[in-house]
Amino acid sequence: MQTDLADRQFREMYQENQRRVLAYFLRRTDATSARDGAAETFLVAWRRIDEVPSGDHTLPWLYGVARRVLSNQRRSRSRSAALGRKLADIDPPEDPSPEVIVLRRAEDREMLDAVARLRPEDQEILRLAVWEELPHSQIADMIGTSAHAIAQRIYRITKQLARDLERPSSRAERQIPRPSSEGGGGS
Amino acid sequence: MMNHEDILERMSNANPTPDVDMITDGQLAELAMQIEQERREATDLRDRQPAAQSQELPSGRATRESRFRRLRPAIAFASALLLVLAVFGVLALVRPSQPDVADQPAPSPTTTVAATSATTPGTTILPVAGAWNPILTDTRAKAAPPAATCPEGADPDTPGPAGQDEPVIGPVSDAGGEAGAFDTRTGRVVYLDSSDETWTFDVCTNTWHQMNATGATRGVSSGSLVYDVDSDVTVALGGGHVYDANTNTWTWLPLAFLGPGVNRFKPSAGVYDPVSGLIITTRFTDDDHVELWAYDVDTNTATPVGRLGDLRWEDCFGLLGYSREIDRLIFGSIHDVTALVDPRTGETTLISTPTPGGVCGLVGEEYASAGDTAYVAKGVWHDGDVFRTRFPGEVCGFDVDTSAWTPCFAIRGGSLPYQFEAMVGDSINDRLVFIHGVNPNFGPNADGDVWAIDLDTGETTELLTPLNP
Repeated sequence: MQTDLADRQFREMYQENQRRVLAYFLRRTDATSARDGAAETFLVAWRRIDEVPSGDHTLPWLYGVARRVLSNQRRSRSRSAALGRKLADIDPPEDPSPEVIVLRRAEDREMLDAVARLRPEDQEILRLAVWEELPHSQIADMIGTSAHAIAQRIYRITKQLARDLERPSSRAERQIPRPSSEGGGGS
Repeated sequence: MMNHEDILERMSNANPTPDVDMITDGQLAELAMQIEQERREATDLRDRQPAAQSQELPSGRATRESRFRRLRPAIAFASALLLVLAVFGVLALVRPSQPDVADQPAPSPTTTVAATSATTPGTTILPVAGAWNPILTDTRAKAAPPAATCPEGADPDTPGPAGQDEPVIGPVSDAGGEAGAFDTRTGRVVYLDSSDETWTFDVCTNTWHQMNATGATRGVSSGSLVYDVDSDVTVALGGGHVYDANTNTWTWLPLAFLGPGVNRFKPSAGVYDPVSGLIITTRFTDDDHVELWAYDVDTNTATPVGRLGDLRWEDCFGLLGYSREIDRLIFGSIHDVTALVDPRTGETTLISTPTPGGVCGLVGEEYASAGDTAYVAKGVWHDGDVFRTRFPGEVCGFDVDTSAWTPCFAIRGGSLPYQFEAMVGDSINDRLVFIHGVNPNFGPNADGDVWAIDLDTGETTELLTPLNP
């Protein structure tokens, strides 16, 4: 592919998808890792620009790359995430005292904790469907199955979550707060 | 039992970035810069290999192309450099008296010992780690405009009119959420709600005003707000947006917050320095140390001042406030260490005392400058195996005389996690103002009230009655 054409194609693809790809990472990791992950995703796209599908298929392709980038990030946490690494080894206290701070509003935290107990692929399917608002057919392309199978699977996932959230132990459960590696937040 | 739709709705509500438009222009600019830099490096690396091959297969066109490809990164870099130089050239014309770090004579590191605290048990003096830019000494603030006062007859302790329009609380965002700052010239709190709407709260009449501000309003709510007395504007540090109350306009100033060649610039709390008239903020270096930066909003210039001893980001060492009385910046960490940093010399005094460490990026933590010191609510400490709120149910200020985080005042609602969205120092009435928004989905605590703690008496005053008392 000619360089000028490839550059133009990359720039158009970047302009079109930069917010969505960055948002994908911001929904799953801290701000610095999100920027690193989004940058890595677009660099992969730049290197393989002649393989990037066009039209409606571009974004699912980018999400597919992003998913692998995120997975790599999590496997090889750099020392800049030393705080997160330190905290990852902490077990939740059995009876957390009320002054233990909570990172999110209780309802959201409870929901995200329940999602975190799902199988990793189910977590990703649910997030792609609800947070990324990706059509079932595009999720199916990413996962390698049919749109109908994705719809069924999401239905099963929501049933499982409903059961989990209704359990009394789930309601009482609290997570240890984990600071993100991004500064800010005060006034 | 919850049905399918209920679960999907709850999942949707828990989305940390529900709208891609919450991503700020500053975040996109940082991403673009990082991609461009890595593309350039990759191109440079890739072009070296074809260059070697072209020597084996010489042809006029191939040679010209490979030469162009070899030169392309250099051309791109030179173009970018020229652009940067042109911008800085224009800025220098605007304010030629402010030199860059490279132009400054490098002062020798100081190990001066603070007279009062050096003998205090549990106190350590850290030398400056390298050169310290004297910009915060050499730059002088303009004469401050007269601060606002309440008009005669006003009663700031009487709740404002019931039923008035109020800011909205949105979904919790990891980006930092709502922020407020006190504009001393107008006597109003400048507040950004979750929809990036600009509001002001008049602390004399306890009334909200929806500003319908114009300009670059999108994404401004990211990060903390600082009112710059010298320039009479409010700066949103996260995205590099500036609000001018005189024109009711937001302007995006992207350059300074990217920093020259900086890859990990994480603006956290910022404070206004009344001596230099500049905003002081911090950056965390790639090796997790803390650097001080000075920001001049007039010229949109961010200047690195110096690196702070052995203070590390992973300890959540965060800038919490400034005290004019002792001319020191106040930092806190999660290991019960408070650091007082001389912004003129970089001398750092570490004090072992129960400390509400902050700036971990935790939703809920709040810090404000008030009463010539830093106040922190929900700052955390690390007690060995878990993070806990340092002073549960209280907001505490740093006492520069005793070097301890007292006095502490009870927060309405005790140790519940979300009693307010922003905490702002009101210098007219010498109190801390706690702001809520309105969102009935978030339960009985999110009820739109505004209340204050008097810093002299510790008394709590209702400034705006809750909608659902």
